[in-house]
Amino acid sequence: MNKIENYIWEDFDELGSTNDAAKEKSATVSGQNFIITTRKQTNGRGRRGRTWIGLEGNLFASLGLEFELRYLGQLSIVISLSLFETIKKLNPNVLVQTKWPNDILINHAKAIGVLIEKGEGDYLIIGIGVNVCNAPETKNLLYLSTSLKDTNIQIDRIEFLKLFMNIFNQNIHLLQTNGFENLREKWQANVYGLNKKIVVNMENEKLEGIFKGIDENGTLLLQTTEALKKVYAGDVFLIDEEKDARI
Amino acid sequence: MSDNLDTKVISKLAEILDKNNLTELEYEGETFRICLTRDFSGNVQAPTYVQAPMQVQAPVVASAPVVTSAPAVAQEDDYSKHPGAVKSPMVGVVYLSSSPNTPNYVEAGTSVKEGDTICLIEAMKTFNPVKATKSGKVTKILVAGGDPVEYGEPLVIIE
Repeated sequence: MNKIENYIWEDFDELGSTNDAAKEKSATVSGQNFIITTRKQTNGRGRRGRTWIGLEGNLFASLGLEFELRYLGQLSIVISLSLFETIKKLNPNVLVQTKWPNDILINHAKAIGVLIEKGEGDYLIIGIGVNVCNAPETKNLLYLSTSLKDTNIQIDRIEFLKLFMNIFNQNIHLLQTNGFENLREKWQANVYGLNKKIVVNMENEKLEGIFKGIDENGTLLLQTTEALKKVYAGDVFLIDEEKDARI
Repeated sequence: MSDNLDTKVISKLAEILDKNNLTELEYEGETFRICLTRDFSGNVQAPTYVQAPMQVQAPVVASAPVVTSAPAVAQEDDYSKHPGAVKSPMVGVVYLSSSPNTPNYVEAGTSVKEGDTICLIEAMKTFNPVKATKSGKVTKILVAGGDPVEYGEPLVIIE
């Protein structure tokens, strides 16, 4: 049985979606965290039904992790921070930013996507897509896309995953022993748009205000003209950039 | 309305706010309404105390809550200890249907089985179904679609 860190690991030649496979697996196991990867993903998903294009050679992984749902927000931030630290370890000179809630921008472009879904029992399914060597065409996408290769990081998809898992496990240990505060500060130190005027596009409305960071649940704090509001879901843009967003 | 009653009510409300880890609690009597909130650090803030509309004198009285033992006050609106309360497993935004164009999962009067989905909560790009904790009839829905909810906040009552 293959393992990465303390996770049981299965690698497939082709899957529709690693998150779907991980959700199915979560119904059949308990007490064991696991990872599912595939060389080729034919039906990758993002938030709100967006697609994640699955070019071969890139990383498509889903972690099955038993985790208390109450702390989902903290977990989401820890994943984002761990991805940030993984990229920085591979190339300290590249511009990397965290972006609420759990995106990573490299040179202002998207190379990594994260989609967390509820599995069976206490499992959370953490889908991670990384453009290791191929960036898809950006037509109709929300951001420009890039790849690790484009940023002078030459690494195999599984080697990237192993490095990420090592950093992620250390950060989860820190979360459980020292709490969320230091991790939140590290995430916020490199976040896109802090203390700037942003717009948050939500399902049925738009909110404008100053991005004041995140609270202890990972919830975005937005200072509007009326009040400090909590935002639980949405897409964040700097005001000037929103006009250019390719929605 | 006497000062004595005010203190008792405020103390009891502060106790409920604290015990149930709520961020806001509103209580309305015959001639007054009290709203207690607390800030992000978890500290209980001074309650906003608003007179009922028919009263014209002294519109706002701010008074720090005193959390001490206090005689029981009728808690008609406190469902957090109700045995049939289904509580939010996380902070987020609640949705009563799977999408804006589909019917609600449940309405008041709907019979449900343990494990049926009764609503969704979204946070951090994740949609989490909330399941019925027991079989029975939904007697109250305590939230509206799009409402922000706190961890442990009662969502519906099943009896």
